[in-house]
Amino acid sequence: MALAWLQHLLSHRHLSAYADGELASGLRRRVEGHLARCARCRAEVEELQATARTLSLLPQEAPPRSFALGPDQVAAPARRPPLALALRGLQAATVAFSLLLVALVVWDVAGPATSKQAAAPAGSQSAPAAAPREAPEGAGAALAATPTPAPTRPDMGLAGPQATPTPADRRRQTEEAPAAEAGEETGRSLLRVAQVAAGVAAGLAAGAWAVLAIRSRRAS
Amino acid sequence: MDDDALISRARAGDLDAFNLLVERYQGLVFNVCLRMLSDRAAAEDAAQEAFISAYRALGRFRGGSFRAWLLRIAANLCYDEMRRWRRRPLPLEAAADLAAPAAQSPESALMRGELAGHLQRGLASLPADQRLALVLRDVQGLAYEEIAQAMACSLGTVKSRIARGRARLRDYLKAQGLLPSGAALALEEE
Repeated sequence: MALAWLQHLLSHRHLSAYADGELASGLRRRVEGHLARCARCRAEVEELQATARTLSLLPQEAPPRSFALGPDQVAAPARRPPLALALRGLQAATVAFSLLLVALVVWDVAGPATSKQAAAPAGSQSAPAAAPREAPEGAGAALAATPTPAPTRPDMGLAGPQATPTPADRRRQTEEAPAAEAGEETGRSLLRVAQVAAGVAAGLAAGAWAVLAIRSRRAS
Repeated sequence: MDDDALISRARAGDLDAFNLLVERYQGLVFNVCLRMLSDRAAAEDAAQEAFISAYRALGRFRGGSFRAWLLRIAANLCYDEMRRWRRRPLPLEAAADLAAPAAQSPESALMRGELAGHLQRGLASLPADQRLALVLRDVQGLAYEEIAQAMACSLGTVKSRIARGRARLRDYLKAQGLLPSGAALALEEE
């Protein structure tokens, strides 16, 4: 009983291909063996054949015109910037400018604090070794320390807090301090300009992307 | 002249040779597109586009059945069109407009027209893969092997798509009263 049911299941899914005469000989014989015993499958084969016959009654319609190609149809299509490429480029530009803006803002917030800290020894003589030791702690700190005029020399750090600065050193430090402040101001205003530029560029790229995307959706 | 000779000449830039292939297959391509899309204007556009694409892609044809290769291009264009419709659906009545062309008598034209409308609606209710397999098999009479080439799938997948599509279409036709049950059919044959 279970074997007969299994044979029914195995044969049933091949009935359509059997009706089309598209089964390999071994499988065809197995299905024919099952059909001889199963009235339900025989009826199903009849129905499937009748369905195929009915569907074949659908008329072949004559094409409304000739599809023969003219020389203008086979000419290479006019080169125009592919829309998909432009959309992808604008998307990438939006992301890139947004990331740049975020990086500049982060620099603005975190950068000066570190550079002030790095610049501190220039004003006070209490810990001249602080800058060289703190600077390498983070990439941001290292970057922030670079544009400020070097407040200490490495040999000063090695000399330790007990080392008394020479009068020449003191003079140089007092001259450098205002120069460092002026440099920092210029750096800050440049940073503001860069932030605004990045923001505007991100906005423009996003706007252009949105306009193109809406137009292409309407066109399709 | 056989397909291969015409393809060689068309590859060398002979447009007239390619147009002989167009003439040979335009009826088949148009009818497959028509049964897939249930819309004459869309089928006309898809068929024309299929021949233009085929001409441009002729260099990539690697031999075998040109007919199957051409049908694959046409089928892909139909799938693209149906994807566009999903975003902006066409009225459902489109399938009903596909009546048969004039037959011998007005009565038979009416009968065939009605049946064609039912069949087209039944086809339109099938998933696109099953519809294509069934159109290629039962309407166009292609062998399973060539259908597998046209659909870029295995022979087993073709068998399964035809079996499922045909079973669903049988249920549809029975529900419309257009197909007697298997038992009655067996009696008719006896």
